[in-house]
Amino acid sequence: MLSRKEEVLIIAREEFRRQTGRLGYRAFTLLVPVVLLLALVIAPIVRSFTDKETAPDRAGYVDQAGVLRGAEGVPWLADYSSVNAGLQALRRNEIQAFFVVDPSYVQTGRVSWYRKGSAIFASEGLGDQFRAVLASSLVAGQVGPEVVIRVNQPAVYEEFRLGDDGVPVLDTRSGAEEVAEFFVPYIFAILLMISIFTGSGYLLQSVAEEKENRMIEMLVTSVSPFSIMAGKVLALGAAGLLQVAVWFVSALIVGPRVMSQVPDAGDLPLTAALLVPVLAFFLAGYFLFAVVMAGVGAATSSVREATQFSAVIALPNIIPIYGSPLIIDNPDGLFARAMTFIPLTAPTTVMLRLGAGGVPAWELAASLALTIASGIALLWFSARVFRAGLLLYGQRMSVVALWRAIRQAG
Amino acid sequence: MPAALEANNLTKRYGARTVVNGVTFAVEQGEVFGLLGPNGSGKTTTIRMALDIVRPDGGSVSLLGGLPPKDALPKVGYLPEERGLLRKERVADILRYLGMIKGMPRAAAEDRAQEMLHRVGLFEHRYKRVEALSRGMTQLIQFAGAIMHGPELIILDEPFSGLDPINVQLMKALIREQHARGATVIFSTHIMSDVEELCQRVALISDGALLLYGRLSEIKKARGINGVRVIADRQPPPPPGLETAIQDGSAEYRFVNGGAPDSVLRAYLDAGIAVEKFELMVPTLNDIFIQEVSKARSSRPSAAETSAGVGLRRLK
Repeated sequence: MLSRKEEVLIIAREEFRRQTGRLGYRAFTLLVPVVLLLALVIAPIVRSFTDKETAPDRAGYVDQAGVLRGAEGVPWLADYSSVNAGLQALRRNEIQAFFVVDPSYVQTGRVSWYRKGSAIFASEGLGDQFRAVLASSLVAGQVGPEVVIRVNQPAVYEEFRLGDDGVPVLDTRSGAEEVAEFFVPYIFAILLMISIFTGSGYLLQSVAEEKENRMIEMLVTSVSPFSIMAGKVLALGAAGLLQVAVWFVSALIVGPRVMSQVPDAGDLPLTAALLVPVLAFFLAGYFLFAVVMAGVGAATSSVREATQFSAVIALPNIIPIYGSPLIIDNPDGLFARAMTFIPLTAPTTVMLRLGAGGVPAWELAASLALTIASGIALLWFSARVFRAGLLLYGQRMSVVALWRAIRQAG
Repeated sequence: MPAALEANNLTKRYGARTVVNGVTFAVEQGEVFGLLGPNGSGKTTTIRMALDIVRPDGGSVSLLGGLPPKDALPKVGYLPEERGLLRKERVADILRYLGMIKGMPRAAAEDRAQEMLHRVGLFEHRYKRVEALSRGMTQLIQFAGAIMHGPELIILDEPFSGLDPINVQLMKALIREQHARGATVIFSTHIMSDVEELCQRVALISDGALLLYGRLSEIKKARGINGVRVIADRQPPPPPGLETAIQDGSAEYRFVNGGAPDSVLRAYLDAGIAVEKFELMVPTLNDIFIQEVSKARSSRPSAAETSAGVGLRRLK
């Protein structure tokens, strides 16, 4: 006779084999490494184009207002004697932009900007650079050279962020690094959502199918309902763990190489402070939704009915994504914190908050404990629902009948 | 010897409807036992209560000499009425899985799965997915799954339904094999010829109540002679009180209101008709089934009337 542990392990191994053998699971698991590898291949190509684009462009001008002083010394800027001459140079691709400073410039600020092609692809940099030359010319001779530099670059920011303890900390991250720090947890939140949809949806379908085709009768006359439920959830959790491990490992190996291709991106922000909570909440979320979906599968009488319910059950997982502007704008606000302490919304919310500025350690611990505790309680309840679902053979499934059967199921 | 299955005053209600009503019977170890009844009579519910799938509202049921379900169920093989296996699974995998959850080590379950597939003639389909098999093939696979761990007690709910005649023969041979190795076999059916072919003892349930229970030969014997069959050139006017059916020189006379074989024979002799063959008719199980179920339902005319019609039509 099998012990409870042996029963759970047999069910779990079989379910793991089935889950990981699905084409959908394999495709989704390999999605992250494939995307990263593609990025590794594409990034140098994109960069070679970018490098070409960032090579110094040349521009020309005609100063009809007589305001440009010292522009002759600017290497990328050519002075033309007439508008026609400048336009000819533009047509011959000798320059990428041609500026005509209108005689009324001092009063109106009017400058005509000639360029080839659509404005979308025009080099905005030349416009900014010409604006800086104009600003320097306007104040040249009236103020010192340092002030001329400040006119062009009025502020060099030294950025500080308030830490969890309220103490300001110098923020030395580049813009690209900040974007990466936000997007890594955000992408994981999205992946978690999709993974939960597919994984727990599969579990729900598997339970409902076994019930619908009565395979379950052969199972429950062999192993206990709790073992069936626990084995299925354990297998799904293991499949989720494998999936996230593949993602993390590929991100750790390929990610830095991809980031090195992006200018100013710095290192991929896969620090322990980020990885540990992301991983913990990913698994806790997976476990919780797996248990809930298994319970729904057990309580319904057909795959079709179960699928209808699954969309409703998965909704809490999506709410934080829809509410992400609120969470990102104010990661310590009431909405974000409330969602953190509701077990079904906690995993996604925490990941979004981690990207948007962090979550206090005590909130992380409390939310994780609550999510896991809810999962364990619901596992026990789902096993009873599962047993009760069997007791309801021949009866119409109603909330009252189900509740009566759950009480009897012990 | 302790009973393989013992039901005492077993009762199950679904809402206001009593689907099994105080059923009491026992199945001896090592016998092939038939659980008979029309559709919806309570056979499957009785089996599900025996296997602890559903709980009785009254009475009790025990397996293998009163072992607790947890200890008894690993020694039981069960083929449910509504067949179904995981459609995406491969045949060999699902058999191994069914063996393992009954406590077989993985390697032994794999070997046994191959053996069983050979036995049911589906070895070449071992790597196919269940969804690629016919209904009959799936049923054989499920049957193989029910017996692959060598259970002491095998419970088969309508095992022959949906099978073609060849596979029915195969299934019967497999049941006999299991019986020969000492297993107790209980199967439910409403096909009486299957019961007469395989069972030593039977229980007949209709509308949740036990109508008949005992050794098949004794049940038949207790019914006595219910008619005669005569083969002759022609037939005399039938004696009063008999139902007569004549076909191709053979006449069957059923004793409806009393009657005796000698009254038929005397009618032939009095008419000067030479009798070629004269045989006594004992009731078939089918006759007994129809008679008992009809009698029980006519005494409960309300809800039973409608369903009796359905049940009897399906018997034909």
